[in-house]
Amino acid sequence: MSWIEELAVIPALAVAFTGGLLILLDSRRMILVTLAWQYLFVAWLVGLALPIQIAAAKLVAGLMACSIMALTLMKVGWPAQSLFPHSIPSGRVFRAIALLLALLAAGGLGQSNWISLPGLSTAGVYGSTILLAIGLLHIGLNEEPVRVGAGLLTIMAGFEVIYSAIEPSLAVMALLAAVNLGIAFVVSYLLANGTDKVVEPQAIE
Amino acid sequence: MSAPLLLLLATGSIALSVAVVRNRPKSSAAIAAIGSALIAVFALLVTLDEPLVVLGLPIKVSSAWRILGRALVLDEGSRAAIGFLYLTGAFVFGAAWATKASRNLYYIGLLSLGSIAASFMIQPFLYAAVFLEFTAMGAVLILVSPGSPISRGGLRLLTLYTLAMMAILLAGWMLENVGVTSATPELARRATLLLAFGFSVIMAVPPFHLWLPSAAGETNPYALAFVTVILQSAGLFFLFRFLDNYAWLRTMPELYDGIRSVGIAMVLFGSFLVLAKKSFSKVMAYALLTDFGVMLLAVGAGTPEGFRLALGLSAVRVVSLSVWALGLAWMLDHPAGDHLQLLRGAAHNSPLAATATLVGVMSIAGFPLTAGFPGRWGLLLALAPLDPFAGGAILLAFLCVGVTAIRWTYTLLSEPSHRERRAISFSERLFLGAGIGMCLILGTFPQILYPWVVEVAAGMTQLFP
Repeated sequence: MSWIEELAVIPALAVAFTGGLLILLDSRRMILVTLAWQYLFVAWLVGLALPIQIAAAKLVAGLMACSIMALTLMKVGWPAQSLFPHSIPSGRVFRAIALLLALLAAGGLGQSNWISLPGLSTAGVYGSTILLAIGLLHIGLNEEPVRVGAGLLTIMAGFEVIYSAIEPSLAVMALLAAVNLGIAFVVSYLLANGTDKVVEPQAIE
Repeated sequence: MSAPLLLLLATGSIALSVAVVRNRPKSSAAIAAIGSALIAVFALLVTLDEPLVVLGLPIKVSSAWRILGRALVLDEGSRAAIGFLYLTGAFVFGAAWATKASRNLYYIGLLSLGSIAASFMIQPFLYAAVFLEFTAMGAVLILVSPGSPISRGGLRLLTLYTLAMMAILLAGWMLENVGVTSATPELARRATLLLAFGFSVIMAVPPFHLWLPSAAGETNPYALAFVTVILQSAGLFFLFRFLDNYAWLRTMPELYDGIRSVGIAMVLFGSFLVLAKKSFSKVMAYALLTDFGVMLLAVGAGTPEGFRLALGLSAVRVVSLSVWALGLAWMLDHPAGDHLQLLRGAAHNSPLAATATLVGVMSIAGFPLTAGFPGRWGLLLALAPLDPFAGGAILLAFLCVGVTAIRWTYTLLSEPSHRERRAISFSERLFLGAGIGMCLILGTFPQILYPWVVEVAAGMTQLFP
């Protein structure tokens, strides 16, 4: 058993931490930095089922996705956080409670291989379930492009941990990497076109 | 040379050409429409896997293109569908310049067509879900433009399609590798649930329709029409391919009852909301929901005749919706200007555009003598004896969308607050007139379209024996 498998609990816990930060943080800069760190642990989880070189490709694709969004935000000047007015409650306390509930649900689901797919390690199941739960919470709580993008990329990461284990084909990996980059590109396009300039920067506590 | 590679390269090249002339809408529309039509002709007529002599040079166009261990194959099962897709694109692009649509519509639209074509050709076909995701990404870029920058509908579309892609990929893996059959009921149940979720998103079944009304209020109606037409057509073909490939799914007794129930629910939902809406774009969104519901009723018939009618309805929607959106987009100065009050008397200022809009909405409702009527009538005759509720739903869809059409006719023909006839060029007049004419001709002579459209799925031998 390699150190990657022996220490597999670390990435499973780390994605819960980074995912939690994604939910709680308000700064776009910090969201992207956290997302980039999250890809390191996602690559580790993918490495439980695939050779580390291939898992590293996931890391590179994830970092490229973060870079695309970061470059766009640098170009438009890291505008202040803006949310759609009168939409979803978005206070930090509310988000923290929702996060806790999502993590409890993910922890409960992760106790068994709930998707009944072969070749998945326990840490992989926990990690992917946590990523999926946090990603879903993220897109459920937000309609702001960067946050939706971060949520979608988190869900994709959770899905890829599962799917890489059961379908280790090169073509599929390339396609999923392209999906990650595509999501980042679309979010960047929305940002570059000043999508969120028109919404009022107010939130409902 | 391989046909799929040539097809995708041609699509990319035309998209690039359109991008180069992107500030000239008429040139963009002409290049995109002619290019799409030529690719459609190539897909339909190219001789595959046999030696040819072109300009004195011997060549052979192979049907497959292998890449990273997978293959894109242009075979008899996909070439008619791809031809149909590109012809749809040519039809929509041709008139797009008159609608003030975003320039993205042309080149991103072409790339989206390429992505859908790839989804038809990819082997194993389960990976088509990934290409539909790429198409959804393109759709977001088409829906969101500098002129209408609010992206709520687009982001919802992207989110929903991403989730659908994952569900379909997982279901596909279970079908291909775990051996799901009617003899493994638990696995079959899981795979069916995942597929049901995925296709509910693709077919915009409530509550997964949420992107549609949002996008309708934000974007150019013509861009929305293009996006819904291509996404729905791709989704329908994808559904048919699943049904054609998996006997256990095709023969599942509850499946068609379930599809019909969903269709009835969609019709009820869309029909009542279409009556309540006072924005013409929102009316379009909910009228489309009823239309998708009727199409699902046709699929839910579970017979080759029902499947053919579903294809026919899908093809007719291209014409009806394009004509509606063309007229509406021409009348509107900005996307939010389509409220009942704002469009009062618009027919006096823009008579031809108002006529196109009303003919389009009547066709979507299924009024006699419009393109939407023959398919609905045929479906009603086929389905009502088998399932009276489904028959009732078709009538309800007609009544509710029809009443809405009459209400909007009254609104558009009312006395305007100020009369100011908008100038219309000859070419705009020509396109609007041609759209209206096509809607009426296809309503009067449905045999022009239907026999050709049903050939689109001729390669699916299990569904269309």
